[in-house]
Amino acid sequence: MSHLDIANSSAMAILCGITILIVLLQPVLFIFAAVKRSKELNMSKEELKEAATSSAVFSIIPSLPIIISYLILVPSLGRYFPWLRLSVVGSASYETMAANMAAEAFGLESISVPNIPVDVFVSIVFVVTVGILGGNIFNVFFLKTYDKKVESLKNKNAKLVPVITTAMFLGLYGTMTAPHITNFTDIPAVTAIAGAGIAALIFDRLARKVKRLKEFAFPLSMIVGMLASCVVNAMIV
Amino acid sequence: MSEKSFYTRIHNLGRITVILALICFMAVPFGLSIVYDQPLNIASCVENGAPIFLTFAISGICENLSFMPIIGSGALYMACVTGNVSNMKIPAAVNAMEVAGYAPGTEKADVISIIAVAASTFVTTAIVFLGMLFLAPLFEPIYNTPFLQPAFANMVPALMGALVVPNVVKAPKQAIVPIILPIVVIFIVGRTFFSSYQSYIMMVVIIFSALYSYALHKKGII
Repeated sequence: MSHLDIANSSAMAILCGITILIVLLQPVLFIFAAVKRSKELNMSKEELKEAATSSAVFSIIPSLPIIISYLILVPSLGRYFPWLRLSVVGSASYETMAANMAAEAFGLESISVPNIPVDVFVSIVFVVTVGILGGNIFNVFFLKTYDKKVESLKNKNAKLVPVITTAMFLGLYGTMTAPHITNFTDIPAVTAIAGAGIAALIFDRLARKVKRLKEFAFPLSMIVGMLASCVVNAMIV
Repeated sequence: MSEKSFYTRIHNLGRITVILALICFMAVPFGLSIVYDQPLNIASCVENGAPIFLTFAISGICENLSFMPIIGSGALYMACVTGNVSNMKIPAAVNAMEVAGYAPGTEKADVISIIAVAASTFVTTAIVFLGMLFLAPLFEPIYNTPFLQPAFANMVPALMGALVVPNVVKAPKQAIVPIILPIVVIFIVGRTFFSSYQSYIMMVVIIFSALYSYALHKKGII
């Protein structure tokens, strides 16, 4: 029996399928809690609907490359484990990296070698699973306390809240953007940032007149940036 | 319901669902081990898994500390279980708050970001499921079209541009430190070091950005 027989077995399909279904319970329960709270806060149904539509439409774009990562992982991990991993908890880059790190730790050259011994494969599944749980374990034990601290700071300085959260947000994405804007050798990437940024500003203006556009401004700006990088790439190649 | 009980409810719900999810995740390797009678060598798993766990745990904690004040606890519990946090869940939440017109950190914004992260989760799960069934091989040729290749390669930069630029324009004075500081750090420490320690650098940048904005606010500049 090769590791792929296990990886593509119905036992694996059932284990992964049940896990995904149970994980999906979480957003369902949270939506109930959020809707209940929104009524108490006198928020309109429309607002919630807009938030849901806008997020759903946006999420289509970054989800598409995930299915390519799926195709990359299938030959070494089978059909079902990558399905589970990419549906929940991980991200495309983490899964590939963690699977390789785990394979190497167990003395294999990489995760893509054929015929991984079955016991080693089960251990790799174990390590990949456990590897990313740190953040979640932290949340279970400490997020409430941290939230309480942040909340008491907020209550003391209510006026400062929007100022500080804006600063934190800018710091967060400033750090994530920096490697891309400083990579002058990668003109298409710089174009994507600039193109999407300019498009976002234009859509923002237009949305003042056409209200409906507001929900879709973000995903549309991303598409403009992505296409701009294609055009520039075609021009320089 | 009082404000406090929403807080308690979100944390109870978060803790229970996260624990449930963790049990399910762990059930996969243990289930395989039982079904195929392959006893797990826990000692070697721990030995080989510990370095991976620690690497991701420390950066994960740094990220969670940074994300929570922006998207709120409820959305964060979900985002961490469902993954793709910085490239999908946070942008979805931030965009939704923007569309709804609520400043991050307020309770209404937290409600909106819960809805956003939940919607985003459903979409990703559905697309990955369709991908497994039939979509992935159909999509592959589009993905590999030479003209369109840069679009997917540059999806993250495009996302950053669409998210960051309007916020910089909206708060230009506040943006100086958060934008310039990481760029300076990259030139000092180099790209490789920066990408290996991005979560830590991010936390430092966030702290400096907050202090800087606090100073601007105190001086009455913003």
